[in-house]
Amino acid sequence: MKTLMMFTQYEMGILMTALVAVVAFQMLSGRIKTAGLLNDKSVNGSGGVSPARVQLLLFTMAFSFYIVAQVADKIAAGKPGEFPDIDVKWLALLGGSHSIFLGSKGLSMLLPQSKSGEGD
Amino acid sequence: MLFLQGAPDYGFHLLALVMGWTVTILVGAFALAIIFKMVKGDINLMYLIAGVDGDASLSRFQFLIFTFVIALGLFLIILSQNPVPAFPATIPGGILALLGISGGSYVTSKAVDANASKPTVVVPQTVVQPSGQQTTVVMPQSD
Repeated sequence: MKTLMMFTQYEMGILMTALVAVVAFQMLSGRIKTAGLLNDKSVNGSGGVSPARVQLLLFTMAFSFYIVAQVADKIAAGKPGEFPDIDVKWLALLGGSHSIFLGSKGLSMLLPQSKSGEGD
Repeated sequence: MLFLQGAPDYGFHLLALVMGWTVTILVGAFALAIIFKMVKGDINLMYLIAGVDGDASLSRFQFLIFTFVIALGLFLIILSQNPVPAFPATIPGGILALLGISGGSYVTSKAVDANASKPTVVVPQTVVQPSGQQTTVVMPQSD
């Protein structure tokens, strides 16, 4: 039974790492399309970089590192077996960032249409 | 009677061992086949994070990142349990809230995209000429 558990651990570890590595490599090599990730996609938009998207990307990266660090910290501190408690402030920050992104997207998609519709 | 006295049931132990190896090898084989097809290009991941317009979507991207982070975190936590690996007893509300924010943002973004990309309806208007011939005039209608 011990051999089976050891084999399963290694198998799952290798498979998950391989999956993440394949997706990351394909993103970096361009096989997964990442063009336009930060572009303004509103109807009358310039198509340039959107600040709302940039801030969401930065918050996403920061939050991901925060969670990985918390998990590693908990395991290193000898308290394994549970997920770390996330500070409410961090959650509020992430929620705010998503709200800004969605608000900006909703406004940019809806406002130009209603403006153009006024003249018709 | 022997079972109630706490004696090891070797038949059951053998069955558990066989089932364990079977499931482990099967899951591993399926996962390996999928990853191999991804690498080879038979499973096309080009539009993994693309939106309806074909461009990359940030809402899909952040959903993917958080899914990977939570999955890897869960895996590490399960492995770190002593003496045997086990699923954590509780999942804190913060982690669930994080997944909720990420998933909710993805769904909302998709809804906004679906509303914004509705095609303009073109209604043909028919004008009847005195000679009996019909001419169809197509006029774009704004919403």
